[in-house]
Amino acid sequence: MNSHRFRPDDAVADRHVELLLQETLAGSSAPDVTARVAAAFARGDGPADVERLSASGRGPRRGFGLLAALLGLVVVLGVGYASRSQPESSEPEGARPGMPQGPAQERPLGPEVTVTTMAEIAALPADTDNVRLRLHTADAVRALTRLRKLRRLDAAFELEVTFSSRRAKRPDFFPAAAEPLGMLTSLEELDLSGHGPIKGLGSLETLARLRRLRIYYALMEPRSLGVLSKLPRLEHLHLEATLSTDADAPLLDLDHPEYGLATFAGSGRLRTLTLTACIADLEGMQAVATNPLEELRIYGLSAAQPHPRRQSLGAEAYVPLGGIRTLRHFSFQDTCSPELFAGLLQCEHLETLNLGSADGLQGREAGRAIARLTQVKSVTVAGSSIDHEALIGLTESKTIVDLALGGDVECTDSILARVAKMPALRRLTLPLSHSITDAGMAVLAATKLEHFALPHPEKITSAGLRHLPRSLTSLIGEAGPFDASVLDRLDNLTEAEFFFHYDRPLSLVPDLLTASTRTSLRKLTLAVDLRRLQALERLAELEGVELLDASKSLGELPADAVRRLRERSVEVRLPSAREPAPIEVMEVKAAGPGRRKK
Amino acid sequence: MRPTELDSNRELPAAELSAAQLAWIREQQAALWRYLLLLGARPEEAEDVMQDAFVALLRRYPGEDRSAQARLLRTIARNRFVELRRRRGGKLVGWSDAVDAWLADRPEALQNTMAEQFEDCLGELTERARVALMLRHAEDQPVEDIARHVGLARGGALTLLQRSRDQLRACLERRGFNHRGRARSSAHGSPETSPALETRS
Repeated sequence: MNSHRFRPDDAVADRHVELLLQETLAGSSAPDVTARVAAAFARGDGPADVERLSASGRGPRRGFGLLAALLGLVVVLGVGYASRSQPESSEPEGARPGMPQGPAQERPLGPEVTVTTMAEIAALPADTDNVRLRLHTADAVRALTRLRKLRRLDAAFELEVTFSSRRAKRPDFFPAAAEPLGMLTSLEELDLSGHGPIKGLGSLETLARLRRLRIYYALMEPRSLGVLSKLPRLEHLHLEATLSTDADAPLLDLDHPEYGLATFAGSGRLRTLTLTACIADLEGMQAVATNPLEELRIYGLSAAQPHPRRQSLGAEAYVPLGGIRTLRHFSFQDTCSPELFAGLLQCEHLETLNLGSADGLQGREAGRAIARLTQVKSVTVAGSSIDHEALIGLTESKTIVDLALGGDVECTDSILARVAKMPALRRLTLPLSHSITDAGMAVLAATKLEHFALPHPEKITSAGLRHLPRSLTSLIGEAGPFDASVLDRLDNLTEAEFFFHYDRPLSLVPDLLTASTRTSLRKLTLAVDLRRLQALERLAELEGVELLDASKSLGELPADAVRRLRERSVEVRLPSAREPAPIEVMEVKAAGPGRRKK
Repeated sequence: MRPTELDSNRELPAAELSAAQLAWIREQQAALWRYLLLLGARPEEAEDVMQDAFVALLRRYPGEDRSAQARLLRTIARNRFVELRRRRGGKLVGWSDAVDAWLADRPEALQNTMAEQFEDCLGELTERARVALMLRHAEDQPVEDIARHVGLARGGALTLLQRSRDQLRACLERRGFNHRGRARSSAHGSPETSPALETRS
C-alpha cells in the first residue's frame, strides 16, 4: 500500500533539489554580504527585532538566600512555590538608564483565586484571570478553558504529607492535561512546578502570549524542552532543580542541538533564565549570551552527577556569560573562571553578583573591581581561594547593601571591622567563621544592619552576639550562641531562623520560643532533625505556639511522636516531591500578643 | 526608534571587522544563504537575515575561533527568520524543525561541494531533461511551454521533470549523499519523531 502521509524529510529533500537547480541553472548564488555586515558592524547596528524587548515588571525580592542555600533549606522553605506568595527576584525593576526598555507594561492581574474542586472551578467568574489550581486532573484544566481571560495559572503540585498517609501520591497530570493546557491561549504565566514526568509539552506551542514559565522541581523529558524556544514571547524561564526523567542521565541535556539552549540563539527575548542541574556546553552558553538576559542563575554541577556528556563541560564553557551586558542579577554556583569574572566586571548594570566559587577573586584590585560596579547592591562570594586582600578591596564599596561571605571564605576580626564600615550595608551574612571572636563582633554595634546571618559561630558566644545592633529585623543563626538573652535585646526583630546542629539540645527550643513572644517576632523557623521531634513535646506547654509545617524523615519518626503530633492536629507538608537536601526542617510560628491562644 | 536589545550593545565601541572575520563571513555566507532559502526565505529576506545573524554573532564573539560557530550562526539566522515570518502572520516552526532534522544527518547539504557535485550530476542527464529543467528553473516557464519545447504533452513534461529530479537525487546518492533515504544517524531522533525513518511501500 502506498503511503500518502506527508513526510517532512521528503519535502525538505525536494526543496533542496529545487534550490540546487535554482543555483546551478539560474545562477541564483549567495550574495556577498561582507560589505553590508562590515558597515552594520561598524555602525553598531543590531537586528531589527524590537518588539519583544520590553522591560517591565515588579521589583526584585531578595530572600535569605545564601544561608538557606548552604543548608539546603531553600529546597524546603524557598521552593514553597513562590508563585503563590512570592514574586521572583528575577523580575526586573523597571527602567534603568541604558537598559533596554519596551513599550509593554505588564497589566496588573486580578487577585489570585485558589481552586481545589471542580465545583470551585465551575463557580469561577468568566473574567477570572489569575488562578491557583490545586486539582491536578485533565478535567480540571479542561474546565478552565472557558476562562477566556485567564492570564496566569499556577498549576504547581505541592506534595502534602500527612502523618496518616505519609506521602500523597502524585496524580497523573501529564500528558493528559497537556492538551487542554494548550487551549488556554490567553496565558501569560504558567507554573508547572513539582510535577512528575512531564510529557506532551508540545501542546504549549499554541500559547503565543506566554511570557513566564516556571517548572521547578519537576521531572521532564528533555525533548519536551524543544517547545520552549518556539514560544514567541517567552521571556522568563525557570527550570531550577528540574531533572530529566531518564534515571541513567538525570541532568537535563541543554546542549542538545534540537531542544537545548542553542535553540534560543538570536531569539533576543529571554530576560530571565534559571537552571540548576543541567548539561550545557560552550555553544549553549554562547546561545544564551545572545539574549538580553537581566537575570541568570546557574547552579553548579557536581562532578558526581552522572551524565554521558558530563565531560564536555568545563569552566571555559561559561565564559560567554560574562559578555551579557544587560545582566542585572547573576548567580553562579560553579567554578567562576578568571575570564568569566573579568567579563562580569564589564556588566555595568549588575546589581546582584553571586559567585559560588570565585577563583578569580584574588588580590585587592579584584575586590575593588566589584566595589567599582556602580549599580551593585548585593554580593555573595564564596571560595577558599579568596584572599584577605580581595575582601579588603570589596569593603571599599559605597553601594553594597547586602554582603554574604560564603562558607569557606576566611573572615577575621580585622576584615569584619572593615565590613562594618561599609556605608550602605544593611544585610550581612558571615561565613563559617572560625576566626571571628566575641571582641571582633563589637564593631557591629554601630552598624545599621537589618539582617544578620551567622551559620556556625565557632568562637562566638552569646556575649559576642549581644553586640548585634537593635536595628536588626531579621536573623539567621545557630541555636546555642543565639539564645534568649540575645533575642531579648533585639526588640525590632520580626523574623528569625535557628539551626539545631546535632550537638545542640532541643531543650533550647522553648527558651527561644518564649523569648520570641517578648519581641516583635512574627515568624520563627527552627531547623531540626525531625527524628528528634519527640522532644518537642514540651512545645505543648507553651501558649501561643502554633506548629505549622514540618517535613521529611517521617518514615523514621517514632510512632509515639506521630501519635502525639496527630493529637495536636499538626499539619505537615513537603513543598516538593524532590528531596535533595539532607536536612529536615520544621517551621514553628510564634503567635504575637494579639494572636495568643487562650 | 525604540531602543533594541542590541542597542545596548552600542555601549560597546564600534569596531571594524578584521580580515579574518571578513574571510569567515565569505566562507560561511553561501551555506547560510542556502539554509535560509531552504527554510523558505525569499532572497531579499535571506540577505537581511544573513546580515543580522553575522552582526549578532560577531558582536558577541568578536575575536573567537569561528570553527565551531557555524551551527550557532545558523540557529541565530533561523530564529531571526522565524520571528520575521511570525510577525507577518506566518508560521514556520514545524517546517524549520523539519529542515533542521533533515540537515542534522546531512551536514554537507549546504556546502559548496554539494553544488559542484550537483552540477556534475546535471551533466549526466539527457539533453532534453536538462532543457526542461532549465526552462523550469532558470526561465520559470509554465509547464505547457516546456512541453511544447521538448515535444511532449503536458503530462509527459511533468513526468520528465519529475524523473529528472529523481535521477539527480539518485546521482547524489551514488556519490554518497543520503538525500532522501533513511537517516544515517539518529543520535537525537527517535522512530516516533523522525519521519526519515518511514519507508515507502
